[in-house]
Parts: sequence; structure tokens; C-alpha cells
Amino acid sequence: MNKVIKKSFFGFCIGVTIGMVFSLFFSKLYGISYVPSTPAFINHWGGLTNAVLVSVILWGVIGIFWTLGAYIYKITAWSELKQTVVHFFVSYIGFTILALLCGWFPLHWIPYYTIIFVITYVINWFVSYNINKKNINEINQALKQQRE
Amino acid sequence: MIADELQQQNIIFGYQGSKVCPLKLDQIIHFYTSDHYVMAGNDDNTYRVKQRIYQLVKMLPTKFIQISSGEIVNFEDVDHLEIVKNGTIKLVFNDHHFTFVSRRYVPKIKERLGL
Repeated sequence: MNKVIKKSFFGFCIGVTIGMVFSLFFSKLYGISYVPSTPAFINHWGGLTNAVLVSVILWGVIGIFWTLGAYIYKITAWSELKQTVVHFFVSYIGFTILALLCGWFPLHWIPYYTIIFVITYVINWFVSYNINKKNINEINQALKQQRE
Repeated sequence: MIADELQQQNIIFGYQGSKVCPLKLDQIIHFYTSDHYVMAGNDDNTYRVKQRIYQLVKMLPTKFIQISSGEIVNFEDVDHLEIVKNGTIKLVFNDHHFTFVSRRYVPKIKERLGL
């Protein structure tokens, strides 16, 4: 339990840092004074200070969410496929809600967002599968040499 | 102390009920956890051992390699590894029995095999 709290704290910090870097980057990109998200988001929360406060909390929660989500890959009783599929659904549902709350994209972008999300997982699956395969071939070669 | 003894004699004590047997490490195929006990298995028998997996990892000769949080395998008895369709890694023994490898332990296995 202690480990989970430590991990969560770490995730919160990482989330806030990444959120800060990206919001600064976009504020700079558009050449405007600092905003954590869209004008609609700031209006919704009744001003910049509140909007920053809410954003920081949301970024932190996103950080915790991804950090703890990684535990799915530690359930060794599950196959890699099951781990990947479960992680996909958990992160898709959770992250989509959090990203929408952050005001990162409008609701009608969901189809594009979903496609990118799926592609990311498919690429990850194939890369991981091939790394495993390569490692196993190397181990089998070593075992063969050992016998000779 | 136990570690010294093991290294010198290459044996480990296995328990079956009230019976205690000195087991030659060469003849042990794998150590694995089952119902909170650590078991040593060879061709015909399984024995309970007193050591925990993490203790065995430190004291066993290098041909014994940890393949998951609950299993250590004698790689002289391993025929090959294979990747199953769902991404699981299967380890097949010379006697065609099999078990599963945790992905997390693959880099350590490579290291132990000098790769």
C-alpha cells in the first residue's frame, strides 16, 4: 500500500510537470500570455487562477492514472494479450474522460482520437512481440550452443 | 552458512512429510512456489525446501536461472523457449513438460546466459 502511495505521488508530480511544459509550449506557440487550456475552459472555471488550479489537479490525476495503470502489466497470471487489451480499455475510458475535462479537444474529435489511440496500442503490441521473439531466439541459440 | 554448505556439497535438503532427503542440485529441474511453500522438483519427485525463492537465487549455481517471481529453473534441463500467439513465453523442458516465463525476467535470463 505504501508503495502505491509513493507511486501515486510520483505520478502526480510527473503529470503536473508534463501538463505545465505543454501548456507553456502552446501559450508560447500562440504568442499569448500563459493559459493552462482553452478560453472556454478558463471561462467555465471563472478565471485564470481557478482554471490553473483545476488544470494542475487534473494533470496530477492523469499522472496517477497512468502510473497505477501500469500495474495491469504486472498481473503475471494474465497473458500479454490480455494485459494489453485490459490496459487499452481502462486507459481509453479513463484518459478520454480526463482529457475532455482538461478541455484538450472537443467532443467531435473523438473518432480521430480513438483511431490514434488504437494505432498506438497496435504498434506497441507488435514492437513488444518482436523484441520478445528476438530475445527468445537469442536464448534458444545460446541453449543450442550449450548442448553442443 | 547454508549457502557455504550448498556450494561445497552441491546438495540441498528436501522434505517429504517427516522424511528428509539430501538432493543433488544437478538432479533438480526446477524450484517453484506452490501453496506458499517452495518445492524442488526432479524427474520422479517433488520435495519441500526450507529456503525462499530469493534466498535460492543468491545461493544456487549459475545454471539455475529465475524465470518468474515464483520459479527458478535449471537451464541444463531446458530444451527451448517459444512465444505463444497471445504473447506468453513458454519454456519447454527436455522431458517435454513446460512452464511459463515472465517477460520481466527475460533480460536477466539473457545476462545469465552471457548474451
